[in-house]
Amino acid sequence: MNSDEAKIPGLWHGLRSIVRRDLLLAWKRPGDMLNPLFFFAMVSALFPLAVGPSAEQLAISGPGVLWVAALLAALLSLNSLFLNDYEDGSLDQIILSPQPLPLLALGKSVSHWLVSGLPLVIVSPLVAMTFRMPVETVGVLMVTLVFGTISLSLLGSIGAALTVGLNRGNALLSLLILPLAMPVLIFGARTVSLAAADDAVAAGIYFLAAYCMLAITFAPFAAAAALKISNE
Amino acid sequence: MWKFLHKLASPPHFYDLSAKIIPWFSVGALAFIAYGTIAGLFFAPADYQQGDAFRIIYVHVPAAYLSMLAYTAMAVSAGIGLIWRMKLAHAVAAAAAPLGAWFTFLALATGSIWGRPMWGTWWEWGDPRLTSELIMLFLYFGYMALRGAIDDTAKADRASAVLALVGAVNIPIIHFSVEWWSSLHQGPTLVREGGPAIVPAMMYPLLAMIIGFSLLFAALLLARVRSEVLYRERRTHWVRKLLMPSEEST
Amino acid sequence: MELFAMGEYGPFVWSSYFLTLVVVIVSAVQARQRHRQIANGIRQRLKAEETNE
Repeated sequence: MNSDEAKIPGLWHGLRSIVRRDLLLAWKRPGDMLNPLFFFAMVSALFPLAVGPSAEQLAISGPGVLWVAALLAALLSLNSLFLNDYEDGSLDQIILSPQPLPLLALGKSVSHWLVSGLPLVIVSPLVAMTFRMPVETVGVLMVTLVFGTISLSLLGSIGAALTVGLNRGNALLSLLILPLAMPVLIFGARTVSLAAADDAVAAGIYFLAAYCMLAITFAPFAAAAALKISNE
Repeated sequence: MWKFLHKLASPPHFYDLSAKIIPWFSVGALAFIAYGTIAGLFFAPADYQQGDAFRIIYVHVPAAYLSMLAYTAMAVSAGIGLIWRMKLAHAVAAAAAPLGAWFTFLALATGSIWGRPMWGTWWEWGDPRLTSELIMLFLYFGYMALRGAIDDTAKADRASAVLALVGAVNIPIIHFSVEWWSSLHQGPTLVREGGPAIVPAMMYPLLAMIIGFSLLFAALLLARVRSEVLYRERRTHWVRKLLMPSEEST
Repeated sequence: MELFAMGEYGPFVWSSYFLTLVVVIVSAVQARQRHRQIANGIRQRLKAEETNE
């Protein structure tokens, strides 16, 4: 019994190995990583085309447009969060593994963020420049996007876990997650707007950071419970 | 006490008992709502700022209150069902969602009708309460969509329970964020519903309406839970006996 | 008649009360309908089983 227990790798090791595995898988299929980025850029491009190229208008709508585009891009990639694992059966292995499931769900969220959220944050200044966003505001945009996309990856892991294995899961996932993601969108977009107007941004950033902490603490447990239910 | 609760939770007993309670709740609801409507429409004095348009709050406020009550009922019973694996609790959660959606819709519609003469527009994004109600409606839709997408009842119960609880954690955050967002908005000056100096003649009809609507909600909820119970217990002996009494003799 | 005019706000007040009535009635009818549907469905299944036996 004792020797068996000794063989179970530590928590940190479990977390690290699931993240590394997912990153390797993502590396072999770069489409998964690039599609949300292209989507983000394209949605952002749609708005000037639809609304018109006037500089003042773009400056006003820029923060909101970028945030909506980021939210949709994050949603787009969420569907596949557990889907591949579900289809090839490795989700059963993950659930049966001796590691606590919430930890592994956290690992999935972390790798999802590294693959889809982080590139989006990195690309966002480029897109923001086309909206004539001043440099200081771009900094605020990136900070809000960091906290926001982490929160979305975690929140989305709950929705992805609930809808994995369902037909029409993708549309359902958006329906479940979008209302819950509203606070992130509100604070994210508003804080960037405030920054653009040279107003105080600390409150919004603190809120996003707090939301992010809350999501890190609770979302993995909810996602783990949901995974167990959908995979039984 | 535990024995009583256990007995209450047994489906056949609940099915019988609820049939006896529903008429009482309905009569009570009717009485309170009738008094509230008549007093609210004809006897309460017109508001000095809003005139007679303020009478809409006698249906708007109870509807908004029920939309919250229904979500609370849904989340609490979903939690009970998830933790103690109580089937009746899941049935309550399933029954509360469509009712909650109806009353949320009513709150939105009456709020919008009230807004038209007050703000000069059917929809005012700057009003945090309307916006919160709208998000609430989306939450109900999501819950019902998830439930509808899963065929297996037991699985649907547990999956939607997780969603209801996640939503319950998020609702205060959503309200807070919408409040914060609208506080930055230089919108039209909103007339506070009720206001500080509310006179008893205005207050009593509102209280009666809230009590009446709560009773109505209880009656509707019980009626819906009864059909849920019947469906979930469709393969049991007591349902067979209930629906096919002729078989009893054979 | 003045009582029903509600100042200038008659249409708004009455339409919201009417809408409330509609929602209450629809939700009550829906609850009853659903119960009947489920009971009938079970009855039919039980009858079918009976004849099979």
